[in-house]
Amino acid sequence: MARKSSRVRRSPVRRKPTVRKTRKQVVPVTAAGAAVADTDDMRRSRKPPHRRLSAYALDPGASTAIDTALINEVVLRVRWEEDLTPGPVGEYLEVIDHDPATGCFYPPVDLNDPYLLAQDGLPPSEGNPQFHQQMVYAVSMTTIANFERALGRRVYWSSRTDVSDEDRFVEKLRIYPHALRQANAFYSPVKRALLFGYFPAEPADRAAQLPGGTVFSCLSHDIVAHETTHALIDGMHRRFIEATHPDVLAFHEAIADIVALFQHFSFPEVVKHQIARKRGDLESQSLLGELAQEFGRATGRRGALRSALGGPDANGEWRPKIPDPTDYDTVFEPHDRGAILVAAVFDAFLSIYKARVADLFRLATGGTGVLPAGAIHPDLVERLAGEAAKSAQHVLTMCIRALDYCPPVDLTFGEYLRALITADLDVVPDDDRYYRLSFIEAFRRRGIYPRDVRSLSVDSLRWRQVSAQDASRDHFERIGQHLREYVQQTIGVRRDRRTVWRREREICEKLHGVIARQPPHLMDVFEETSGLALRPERIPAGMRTKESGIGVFAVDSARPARRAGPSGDSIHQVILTITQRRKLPIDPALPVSEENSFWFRGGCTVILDLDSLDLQYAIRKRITSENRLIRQRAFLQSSAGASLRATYFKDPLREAHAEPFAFLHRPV
Amino acid sequence: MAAKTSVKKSTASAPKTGAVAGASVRARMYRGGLGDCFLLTFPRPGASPFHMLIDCGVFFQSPNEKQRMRDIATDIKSATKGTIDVLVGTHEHYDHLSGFKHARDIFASMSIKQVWLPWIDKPGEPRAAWLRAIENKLKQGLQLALQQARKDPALRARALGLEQVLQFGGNPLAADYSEQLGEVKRWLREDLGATVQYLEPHGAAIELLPGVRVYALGPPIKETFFRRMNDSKTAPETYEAFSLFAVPGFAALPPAPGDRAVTATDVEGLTQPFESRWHIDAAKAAAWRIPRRPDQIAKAPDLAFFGTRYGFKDDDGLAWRRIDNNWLAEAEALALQLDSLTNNSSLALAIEVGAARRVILMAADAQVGNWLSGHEGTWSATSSAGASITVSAADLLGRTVLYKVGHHGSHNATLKQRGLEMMTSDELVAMIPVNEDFATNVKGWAMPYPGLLTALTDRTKGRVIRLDAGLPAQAAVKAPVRKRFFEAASETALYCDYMVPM
Repeated sequence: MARKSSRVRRSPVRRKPTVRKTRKQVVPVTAAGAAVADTDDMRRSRKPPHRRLSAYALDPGASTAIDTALINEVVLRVRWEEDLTPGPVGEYLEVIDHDPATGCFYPPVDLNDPYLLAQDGLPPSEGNPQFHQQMVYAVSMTTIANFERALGRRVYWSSRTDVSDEDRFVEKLRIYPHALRQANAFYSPVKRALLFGYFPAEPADRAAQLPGGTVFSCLSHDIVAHETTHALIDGMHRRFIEATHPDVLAFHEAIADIVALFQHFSFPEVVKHQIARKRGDLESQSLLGELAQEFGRATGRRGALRSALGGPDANGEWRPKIPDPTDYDTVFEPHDRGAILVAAVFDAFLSIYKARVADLFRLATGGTGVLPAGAIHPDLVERLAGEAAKSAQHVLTMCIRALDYCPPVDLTFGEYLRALITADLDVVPDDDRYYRLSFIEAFRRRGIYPRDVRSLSVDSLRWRQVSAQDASRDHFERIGQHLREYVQQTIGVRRDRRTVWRREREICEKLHGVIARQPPHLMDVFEETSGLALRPERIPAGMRTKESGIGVFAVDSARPARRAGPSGDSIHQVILTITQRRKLPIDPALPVSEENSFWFRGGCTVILDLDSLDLQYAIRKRITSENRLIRQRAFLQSSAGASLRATYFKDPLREAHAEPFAFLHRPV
Repeated sequence: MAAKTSVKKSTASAPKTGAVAGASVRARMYRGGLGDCFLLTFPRPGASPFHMLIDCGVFFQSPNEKQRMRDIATDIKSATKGTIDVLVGTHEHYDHLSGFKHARDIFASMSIKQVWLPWIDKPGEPRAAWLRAIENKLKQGLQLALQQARKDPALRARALGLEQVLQFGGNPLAADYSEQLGEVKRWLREDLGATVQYLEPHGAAIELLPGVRVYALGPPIKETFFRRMNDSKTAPETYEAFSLFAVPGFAALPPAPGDRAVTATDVEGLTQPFESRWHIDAAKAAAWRIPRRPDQIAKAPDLAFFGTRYGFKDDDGLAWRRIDNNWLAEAEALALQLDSLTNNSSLALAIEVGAARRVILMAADAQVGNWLSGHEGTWSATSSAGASITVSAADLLGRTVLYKVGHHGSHNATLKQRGLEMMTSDELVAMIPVNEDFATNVKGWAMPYPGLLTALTDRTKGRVIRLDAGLPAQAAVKAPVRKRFFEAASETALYCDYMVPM
């Protein structure tokens, strides 16, 4: 105490004390220090909630068209990071601007420079690398904030597994805004980094874009949001980068696109502009439903890189995409397959939006619902844009929240639908605006069904709840008690992410011990609930066992979630994931070898209610499932699992230097 | 079957007399190693048989490469009695053309009447200028990348993979790398004294002989098809941009003439995407050390930033996040693009024989774009009754009875829905010019691709003839077609034969 206050006294008028010191200084109030503490308090009361940073709403391409130039420059309100240093380097991100192809570094931007603070950061500019740094930081932080809001906890990046304990925690995601000289950008799971490329445009339509002009992928909101989402999902579900099913990599792509799309709606000027132009109709072609316009055109496409709604036909005319229920069974390329899921979610969004604005249209048209010709009233634009933004935020939150309700491995789209419905039911018991039905309907139209439900009603889609009589319910109480203690120590307390992460590792270890040491009669119940194989007599082929004879398993994560519903009640949960793996031959007729082997994984996501200590859901992927094994083998042997790269350079996912997304993001 | 007896006896010698009508076309796959060499022999009533040689090559540095090629050339000479009516060079890859280099003297001593090449090989062909420019640029860049990667001890092992892909073009490090196969092509065009034809897809079919008609399926005319390497339904316009050069020093290379993607100004622009006032020399940052006096950091804050954060030193705990060597992965991707471009420039042929119009499909190394472009047009021909008929790729696939599997059975050189699944004939037989041991164990490549092999075996009822394994085992062929198949197929150490009924 005394030491701290004396330190305070030594430098009474510090211009820029860092936040950690500030926090510690708040406590001591001595006679001599009162003035200082007071100043600190006053200072703290002035602390801005946000840092305002300029960015392109879409990409620099939109600034060259008269139509969109006005709305393309937006100011993002990014959570205020007190400790932000040049780079920018903050708590979550470090932007390191190295351009290996030119052998250059570009100097890091200091966003705390008073000049920049006074004017929303640097103004948008393609020629200033420091603006590029600012934009990747701003968009990436916005995406992170969306995840944290939906999940109700702080996020962290995928931990390293190949190093000693202390080094495993990856505090900051690294961002290289100019890492590549190619029309590509990707998340590197190995480096825990986002790599953005730049390249000369090679447009098909030379009127729309300057041939040879340099296109920077780090200046596209959509691309930055997309890649950040890859990193965020990898932080939550590290097995989702393993292509065990056609849906898994497609899912990664789809969620990344969904996040990028719905973030468009957080730019009010863009939404109003497009609503006014389309007279409230979001089903026709609009900037809101399309991704990476400039990138798409610069790589020879006639329009955006991807669209949730449609695209140019053979004559270059835009046509809406008609949902085809056979697509899910016939389309396997990850981006194409992901597009089915994106379209389904966007479709659900449109139904929700239309339901929310039906009354506005009736009011505005005297009940006919038919708008008169010409521009619509600015008030109507304002109200419609508000509803669109609200619907988009709801849908985005639902989509992110559902990630907690996914099985830990081998996810399918159908299971994601179940996760969406279940997560929403937990938070919003009354679906008076038919959000859930909108989702079910949109998925059904595209042939996306879960394999194991009797009907597509909300009730049967909800993950099976553990009933009150179920023996496993009591059993999980012990686990729940450990977790409650853990959560009390972490949640709601503003601790740094490293501490939270370390506490999670500790609780996972503790739970591992609890599970491994349970008496045999409980082990039986636990196996049934979790889909794991633990007892010696149940161990399937290819699984390692501990000395005690119990099957090896891992408690991968234990994450608290605090969610508030619209009716004001909040729920407190902990989400546990437990996994196991087996080494099996790809071709069962041949012996296991380096080439002829793969990891077959199983496990479960357990959701516990912290208030009642009840086990709510155990979302299983049985490690012993023969059907799943057959499916996975077939997938590994099919051409969907292969690429030209795999023909020549072996399976990229097996190699240490693998970059699965680098090659997924280009059609090689 | 008149052919039966001659099949059983089939040796290195040519059929003694011209086969009579109702006889068979002999399709011979030479077993040189990983590479293509096919001799088709058509009977001609009252005349000596008509010989068509499609490619003659083996992969760079295959075991005993030169001698194998010379043995094969010698056999071709004796089988054809020194006369090749048509010689087809499908595309510019070493494993399809090296025989003409190794056994040039033997071929030169034969009489070669016609040489068929894809339209893009026509000297000065304006529609292929873009392709040549890109190919040259890619070759230059990759050669540079390979040289750099081999110099760096950390990259040497990975450089091998790159080198192997580039070996489709011959020796990638030879000074005359781009010339090597170009010289073979020149020799085919100029020195043989043959009539040279450059074939384009679609249009009128070639009436080769009475009862033998040839349809050129590829290479595509449209640029977009060359760039199609994946079969994407929802993104049909997806194609690759090639002007992406991450290889250090590449931008400094002079642009290829006519290269529209990378002009001189682009190269300058790309060398430095930002004005020089933004540049911090990476070497200086790497050399930066924590100064003794902290206040010195303030003098060079930017160098200090990178010096402490980037992870220059291998042991400072940050090195795992470095990106300096990422360009090698880029070079690998470019090598795949080059490989696919050349494969897509393959002259693929469908040869229709006899009254039943059975089809022999010689797919060369055609990849997705080439296959898809085949479906983009139709052919016209005159029926035996003199009527004009229109033929589509689907027709040809439906009547295919012998399929020369594309690109040694790799996963993306046999289209599924618009390829193999359209080959519905009960008589379908497949020939795969693959040496799995060499491809898998020496090169580490997935050839033949297991999924494709399963599909082929299924569709042909087990009638898959492989260059390395020869004929299938008796039991592997389904009983109803077994007898007929083994009557028509035979093998020696040098080749496998299959007689296609006319």
